[in-house]
Amino acid sequence: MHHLLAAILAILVLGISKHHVTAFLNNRQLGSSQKSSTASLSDASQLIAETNVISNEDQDINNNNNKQQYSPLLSAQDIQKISSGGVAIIPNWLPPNLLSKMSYLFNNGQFQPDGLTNTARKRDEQGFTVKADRQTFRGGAGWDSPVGNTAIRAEFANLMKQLRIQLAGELDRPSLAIDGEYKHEVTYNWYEVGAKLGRHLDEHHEETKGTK
Amino acid sequence: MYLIYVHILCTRCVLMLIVISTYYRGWMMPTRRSVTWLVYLNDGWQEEEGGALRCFPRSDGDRKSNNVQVGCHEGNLQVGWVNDSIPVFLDVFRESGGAALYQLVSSTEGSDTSPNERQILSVQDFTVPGQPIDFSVFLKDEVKDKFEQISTSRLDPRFATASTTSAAGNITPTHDTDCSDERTILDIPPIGGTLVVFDSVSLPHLVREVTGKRQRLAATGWFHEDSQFAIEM
Repeated sequence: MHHLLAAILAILVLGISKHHVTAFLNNRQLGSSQKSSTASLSDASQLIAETNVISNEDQDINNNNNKQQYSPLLSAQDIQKISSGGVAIIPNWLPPNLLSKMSYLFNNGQFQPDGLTNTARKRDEQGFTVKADRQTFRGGAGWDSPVGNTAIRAEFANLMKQLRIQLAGELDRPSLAIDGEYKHEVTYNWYEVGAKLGRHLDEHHEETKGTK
Repeated sequence: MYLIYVHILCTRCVLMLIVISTYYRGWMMPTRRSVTWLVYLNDGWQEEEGGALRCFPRSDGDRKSNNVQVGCHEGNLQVGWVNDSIPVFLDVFRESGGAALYQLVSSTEGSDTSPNERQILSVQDFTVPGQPIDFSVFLKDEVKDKFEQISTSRLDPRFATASTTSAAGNITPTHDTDCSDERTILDIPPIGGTLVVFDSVSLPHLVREVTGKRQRLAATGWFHEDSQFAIEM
């Protein structure tokens, strides 16, 4: 809270612009992901910051794609399951050519491990080991990194976009369809032999996050 | 002169409170996770290789639903269930300034339309406490026994606290990593090409230990939707 008070005081007393304060808060948010007790928020901000899903050029293409009509990728039964708290499972959903080519990065040793055992603590305090935890591809670059097969990743990203647009309409969550700088995380992850991940939720109510 | 100075300070304090109440209520990020998806990439994965995604769903069990969509209602996120299958939402933007827990019911008894009327389940509006949170203490007596909280970030064993850190500094989560005592369990083997999709707010899940001789590979992600009352400057 004292950060917020300081920001407000800066506006009133020093006349700092909105832009500066917004930047300050954004930096505070990203910084806090390393140390706060925020659950999925820190997880999310970390991945969002480190995984640029869509480049500006891609975004122009995607904005045009927004106007297109896609064939549904999920059945009505799948949508009903998601809507009512269940799980939609579709075997053999990914085209075989994509399945084989998307493992390119991993098979060529391009993945860089990332510790995500416990985002409530600093990375060096997480007790992270590759034999015990999920690892995530970021490698200092994002999903649109020149590393590996960018064409395959773009093809996959387009497929997931079709899925997202269908969900936006059929789950009546219209803002799912919107593209933006901080939306729609995507990543590779992998587990070494012996690794696992404890019970968790991917998103929480804001009021139940972090220390008060 | 001193009085003028005090007056100016008080005015600034009032202005600060107005600005804080105007700009600093809501979510810290403009978007939030809405739908989780996973696409598995291991060709020919066998069940004995482990690494199954273990989910604890509602609709896959033998339960009656009231046809209310899970996860979120008018920006208020779900924090629990009543009667095993009816979502309970948390509204922290009440006119009182406090919070309330509610479920959705049909405005007309016997109606086939989806429930759209809020039925408050908490005794009175309250302030959400610090972690760990137990929402059941705010519920009416007749609901308490029927309520099940999904999770909170601190109840989530993934986020071990200092008390679960060993003397050597290693995190030692105290939870059962299989959660085999939960009533509804759905294990999904990570077979290459399979797509898995679920609501990000309402479905607890874990990944079981990889027991085979190769790494478990996946592409995963979260589709975001707009947050409720995102902080604006």
